[in-house]
Amino acid sequence: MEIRQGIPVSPGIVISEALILDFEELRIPQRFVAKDAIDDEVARFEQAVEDSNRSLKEEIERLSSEIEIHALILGVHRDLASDPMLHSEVEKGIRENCYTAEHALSRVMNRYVRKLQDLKSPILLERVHDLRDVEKLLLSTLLGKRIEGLSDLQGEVVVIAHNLTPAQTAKLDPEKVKGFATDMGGKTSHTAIMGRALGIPAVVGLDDISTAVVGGDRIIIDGYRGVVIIDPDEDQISDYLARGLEMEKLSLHFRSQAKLPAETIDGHLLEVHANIEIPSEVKAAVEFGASGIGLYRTEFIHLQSPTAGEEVHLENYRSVLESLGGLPLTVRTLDLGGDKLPEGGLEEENPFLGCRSIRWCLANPEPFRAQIRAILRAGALGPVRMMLPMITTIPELDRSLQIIDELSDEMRQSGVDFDENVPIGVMVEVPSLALIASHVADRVSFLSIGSNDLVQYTLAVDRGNEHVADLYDPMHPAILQLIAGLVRTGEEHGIRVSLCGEMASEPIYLPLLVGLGLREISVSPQLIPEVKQVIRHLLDYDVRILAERCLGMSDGDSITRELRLWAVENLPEVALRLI
Amino acid sequence: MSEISQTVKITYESGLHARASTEFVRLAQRFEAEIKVSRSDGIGVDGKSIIAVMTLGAQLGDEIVIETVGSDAAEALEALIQLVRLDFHGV
Repeated sequence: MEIRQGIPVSPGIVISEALILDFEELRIPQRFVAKDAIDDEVARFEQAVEDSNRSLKEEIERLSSEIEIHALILGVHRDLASDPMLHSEVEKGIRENCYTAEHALSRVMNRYVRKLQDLKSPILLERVHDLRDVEKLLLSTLLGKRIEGLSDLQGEVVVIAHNLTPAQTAKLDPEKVKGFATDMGGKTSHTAIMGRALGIPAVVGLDDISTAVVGGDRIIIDGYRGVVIIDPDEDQISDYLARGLEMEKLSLHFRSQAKLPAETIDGHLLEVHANIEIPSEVKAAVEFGASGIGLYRTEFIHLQSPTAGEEVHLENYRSVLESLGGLPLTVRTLDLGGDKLPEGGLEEENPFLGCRSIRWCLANPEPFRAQIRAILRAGALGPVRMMLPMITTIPELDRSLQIIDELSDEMRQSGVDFDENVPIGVMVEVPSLALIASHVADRVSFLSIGSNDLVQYTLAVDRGNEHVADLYDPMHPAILQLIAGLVRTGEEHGIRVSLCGEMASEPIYLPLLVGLGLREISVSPQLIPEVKQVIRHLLDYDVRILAERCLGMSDGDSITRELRLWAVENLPEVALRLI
Repeated sequence: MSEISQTVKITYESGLHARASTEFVRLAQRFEAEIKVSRSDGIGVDGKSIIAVMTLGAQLGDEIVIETVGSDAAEALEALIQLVRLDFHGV
């Protein structure tokens, strides 16, 4: 038995057998063939291409519209696998150098990858992954090994991997896959997105789970607390079975009341919005009682297709607005950084302090401008707000606002249909901005606290780093002071202040956040029913006193203890999650 | 059969990359004609190979030469030139 702690990214509890995805480069046993076997070798390669294309074709047809993004990617894989130049060069390698098909293929692919990397275009770097995916597919076909029998699994499994890619998750049979656990990844990783989209528990950032687990091991994944137990004992299994059932019952109960307003006992109405990554999440958000989308992370659009222009963005926004049926949508402009850009896009010693987010956008104005135009045009289709991430200085904000103004003028002159009154807000993610919030509030229509980054930048802690992760504490008094200050600034300037981040979905933190005066929060769709339920059990008068008390405390642990105690006493319905 | 060719300037902001090259190659493959693409300074590559077209690295503002030869060379050339001019339908 072994217990691992990671980052919970999709809630739920599952106990099942592990299936390990093999991410190592496929080993090529033989590099050369005899001269008289050359024709056979070429035929073998042709057969592999044909087989691979057939399986890609089948997968493309099998994919529902829900995962159409994957179908697009697989379509490109087909183009690559049947590329005539690839064929002629592999054949040349076999015929002229007596290479095995596998070896010839790897050499040719490496050459293409280097060529793409030499072009130094971030757009093309994404294609490197596609080439590698196709190489793996062809190699495993050649080697007679099914790449992963994921689409025809016999029983239920949890998938353990180093890091899941869209090409891999596209193969998963959602009926059989009951959870994800990966070495890498964060809240916005592909694993997290898919876990939430499929509604199965997922834990990421587990360091070396993919090598610690052997296929067939029994695994418990606790997507509420980020715990993974390898080879659990009987007691743990029965505990978790009971806990899983309870949680399920509880969440069904929460869901049945999800459409009720998030109103405190003494009549203070809160808005609970949803954070989403892909348009298909909106349906769940609305079902779970979201009063809008408080954070639409648009990086996915860019990462799926780095050339995505104005029209692609607009299509995505249109689709989200349609599913929202009149509820408001807050679009965050591209929040890309060294950690999110495709491999080699930007090489920085410290991407979190580097050219990321709004800095990247101001340095790469074209994608930024295309997106702004799309957002302004989307404004003509429904209630849209625009949110600028990671602003740290006023000149940066002014520059961004100026670009937005220029584009509005342009569009007005050319008669494009758009909304010139789209409210513009900023995400407060860096303490420098929180401390000059009144200057910010003079310039924008709303502030949104990005608590994950605000905690990381205020406390100088990378929560993905296991050596310091325990210092990552959203209840550090400095964070509470910053939030309290921002709420005050909002009240003074008459603008809305919201909070989007994991902090808002922690039931024990919620009473404090409401007590600090926050009236709008945004969380993952699945968490909305519980968040609303908690809010309905609060008395604003009570939680204000609680917040005052917490603001007077000097360390995060005492504050957390205080909040836990308060929740157990005052929120019996959700106390289960706290045990 | 003689070859025909035409030069066209890339006005698409992302250049002849990823998505644009997919569009280009998929269209090229619909014709019988042999199709070559080159940058004004280089040798031609197979216009039906997505890898070749991608690695050409043609950017916004670059001029490319499209050469076609075969039974439907004229139609192929016209269609491909149109595609580049229309910015690959804004993919």
